Amino acid sequence: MTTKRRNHGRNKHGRGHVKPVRCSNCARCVPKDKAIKRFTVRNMVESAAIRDITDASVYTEYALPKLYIKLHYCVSCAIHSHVVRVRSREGRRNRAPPPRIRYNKDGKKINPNVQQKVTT
Amino acid sequence: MSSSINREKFTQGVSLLFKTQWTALKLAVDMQWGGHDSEDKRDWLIGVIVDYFDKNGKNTDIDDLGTILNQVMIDEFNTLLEDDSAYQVSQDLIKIYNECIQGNYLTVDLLQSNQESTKQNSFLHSKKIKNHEEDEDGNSDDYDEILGQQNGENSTIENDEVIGINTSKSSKNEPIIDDDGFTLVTRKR
Repeated sequence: MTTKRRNHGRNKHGRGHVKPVRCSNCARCVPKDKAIKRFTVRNMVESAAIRDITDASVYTEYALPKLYIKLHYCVSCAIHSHVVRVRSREGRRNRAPPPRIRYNKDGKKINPNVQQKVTT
Repeated sequence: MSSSINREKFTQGVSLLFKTQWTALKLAVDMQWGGHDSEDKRDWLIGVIVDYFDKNGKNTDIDDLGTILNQVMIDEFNTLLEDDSAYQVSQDLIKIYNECIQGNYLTVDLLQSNQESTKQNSFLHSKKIKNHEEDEDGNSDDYDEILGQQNGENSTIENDEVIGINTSKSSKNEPIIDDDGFTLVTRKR
């Protein structure tokens, strides 16, 4: 049988064992190097409600705190929640990050390939 | 040339901004959200920003810059920024750039003095100092034991020489070789 990935789907080189972490979604044990890790930085108050909070606040200037969340996903949950996608055989070897679709000021989609030519 | 000094100061200002003021990037590097080369990625990002300003000068679009920062955080550090910190950081970058063009280094110097005085890096700083101290203490303790057993008479003189050698070499990962040709085995650093 062929191997599907050269690194066997994880990032373990030179070690025999890594400790597992639990998936944030389903609590499945996943080795820490195999888990799909995502981080989000978010304000505690959503953008729509900032105005209301600052109006109702006692303090004149209060720096609203932020939430720093680290999420570990098992492979199943990552695919199910569209964090990662299935790729073709050639596409699997592409380790470059995916280009993000950006929007122009008018609200039109900028083609990421075109934008990369402009900025680089 | 004044422009090269401006560029240096601007690079320093960007570097300080990224290391002290932008909490998201600071956390990403400290917690290594981008892997073990997160520090290198930050240095690369500083270079990218400076080059971007070199190319565009005063025409830098704040939205464009914010998008670049967002993109880098997603791609390199796996971090989705849902707050507007990238936009605010790009505002600060443009402000520093405009000041550095005119030769006004107030903000850069302010950031520099803040960095030296605040306790932001005290935890990691004390951690690094503690590691260095542990290394030196460990080495000198082992040497004292070995020499004390071998030479009772000359131990005082050799201790001083040995400690002198220790303090100079312990900061680097070179094998410490005794006068008799024995190599001191230390833990990996």
